[in-house]
Amino acid sequence: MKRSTLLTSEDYWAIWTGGFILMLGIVFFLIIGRNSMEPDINKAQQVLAEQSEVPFKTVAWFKADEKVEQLTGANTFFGKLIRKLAARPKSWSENPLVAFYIPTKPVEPERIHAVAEAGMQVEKLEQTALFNEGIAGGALYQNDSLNNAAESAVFAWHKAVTEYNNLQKKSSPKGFSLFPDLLIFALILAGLFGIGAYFLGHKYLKFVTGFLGVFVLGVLAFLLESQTDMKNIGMGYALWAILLGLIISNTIGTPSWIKPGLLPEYFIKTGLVLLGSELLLGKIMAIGLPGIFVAWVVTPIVLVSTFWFGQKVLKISSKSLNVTISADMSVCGVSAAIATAAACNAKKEELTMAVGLSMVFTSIMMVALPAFIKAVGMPEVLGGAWIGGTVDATGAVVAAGAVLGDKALNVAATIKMIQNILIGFIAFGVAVYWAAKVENTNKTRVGIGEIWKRFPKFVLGFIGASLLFTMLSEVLPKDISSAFVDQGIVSGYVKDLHSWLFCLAFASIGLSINFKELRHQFSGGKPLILYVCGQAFNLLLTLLMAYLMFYIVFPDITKTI
Amino acid sequence: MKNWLKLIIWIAGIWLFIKTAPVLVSMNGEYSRFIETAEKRGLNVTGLFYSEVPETFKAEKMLKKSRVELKED
Repeated sequence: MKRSTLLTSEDYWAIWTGGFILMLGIVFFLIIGRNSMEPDINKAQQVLAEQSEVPFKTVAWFKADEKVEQLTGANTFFGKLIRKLAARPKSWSENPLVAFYIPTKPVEPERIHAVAEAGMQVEKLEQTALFNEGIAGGALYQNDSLNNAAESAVFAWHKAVTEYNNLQKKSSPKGFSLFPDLLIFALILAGLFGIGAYFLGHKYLKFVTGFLGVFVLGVLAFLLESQTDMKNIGMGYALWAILLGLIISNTIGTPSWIKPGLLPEYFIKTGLVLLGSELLLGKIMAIGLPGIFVAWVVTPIVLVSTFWFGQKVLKISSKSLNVTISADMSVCGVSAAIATAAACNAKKEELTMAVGLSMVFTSIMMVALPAFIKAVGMPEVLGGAWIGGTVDATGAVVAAGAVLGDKALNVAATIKMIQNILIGFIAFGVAVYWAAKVENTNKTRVGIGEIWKRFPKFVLGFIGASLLFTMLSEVLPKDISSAFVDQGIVSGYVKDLHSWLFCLAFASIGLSINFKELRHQFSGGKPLILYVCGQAFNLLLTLLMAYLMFYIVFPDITKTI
Repeated sequence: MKNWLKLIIWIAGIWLFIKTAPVLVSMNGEYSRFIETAEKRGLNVTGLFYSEVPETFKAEKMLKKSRVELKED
């Protein structure tokens, strides 16, 4: 009996697998987690609203604020479980073993004593703060000196609480072992993806065995990324995963038992469906119209111009390589490269080339750009917007912005976040263009039916997840949305899973390509020229637009930042 | 045998890179400043997407707040 394409196509299986993971997230975070925490959040919010009438921040205000910070999806039982299972190797510098295992050590009695003393000090200061608050309240908060005295007492108490918390954190036994968690996590992923692999024509057990091999390589990639020096210079897991895979496949050869586990497209497409839930369209207004212009007007112009330059001037033979590098450079680096490459069905070597270029240039630009901005005395907001619109990876953008200052960090991070959201539209646009134009070799007008036939269906899952979670995020009350979408499903669940899937995909890609093919893609250095020319144009246009938007058209917004 | 030797050479190359890259980088003042800032603030420099970098959520909150204040004024 012939099975429907709904059960035999990798694109649909990416949707089913990603959809299943997202549904679990909705049930555990938005239904169970929300129900258990919402009454406490509402109570804390009520306290915050009541206390906002007082001219200074009170003890009750700080306590309620801390409660709101802690009552998030990431702190529910499921959130903690996922964080534990999907944990990556911890930071290390000399001994890689400490990334996986540190034995629990007994706490020294001096530390226990210090914590107890700090706790007593907190209690004492709280009594003083409450006493002063009472006196200020007795004067109906009309006496400035009483208000000031109360405010100082509350801050002294709050400072002591922060110190007490830090001390307590340092004094708690730090031991951990990631080995059992990693094993369970690997088996869960292998079991889940094994179902899809089975319907895609692979033997279940053979896939599971091969998958475990790929998983080990993924763990090694994360381990190399977590080495402190490598992390600081921006050497991310994507590059390590590809490199490790390439080294194995080009030296001893990919072992035959691993080969059934190499399904990079399946991992990438599922990762993209998950990533869709992070594309919350409501975020694009975070910085107002200047942000939209810098991130959503400049980026498509640069993308299309670079693609045109690659086709007409450089005459790059592969359109998919051209568009993957153009998107990677103009949008947000590796994530954009993954989405675009999947949408236009680019070769694995082409994606590898784009990822490599992005990571190398990010490592250079994240240091060179803030240095240049400082040297010419550019204002922080303009510098931040420029960095946010041009440096590829978000982590590098935030760190580069931080070198300039807090304002630059906030603007750079927000611009990059808005640009991140754009990748859903870029992937959709590229998929439609490819289906209608590029794959239309007869150059005749094609109907909707034909476009649909060629259209990569996983993009529907990607866009669908984005729309669903945007709707949920907008419909839910602001605090609930922040606690259970932003701090729950997005940063406490999907983020970890999409990173793992992309890492496994890159390891699989490395294991299935060879250096010779990669050298062929680089022939004549055209990809490098394309990246450099496109980035030069991107730098100029982003700077011009950021200046116009933040200093000429909307100076009021700039003043408030 | 030759292939295993190649693998060992690659592993040695990675080890050498991990050992020498920080030394080379520390010779550049700008790199040192960048690393110092990232370490001091505990930033995840290798985060690819906004959700992997917690500072983006804080920045978004901060800027939204300043926009609300601008509207209120």
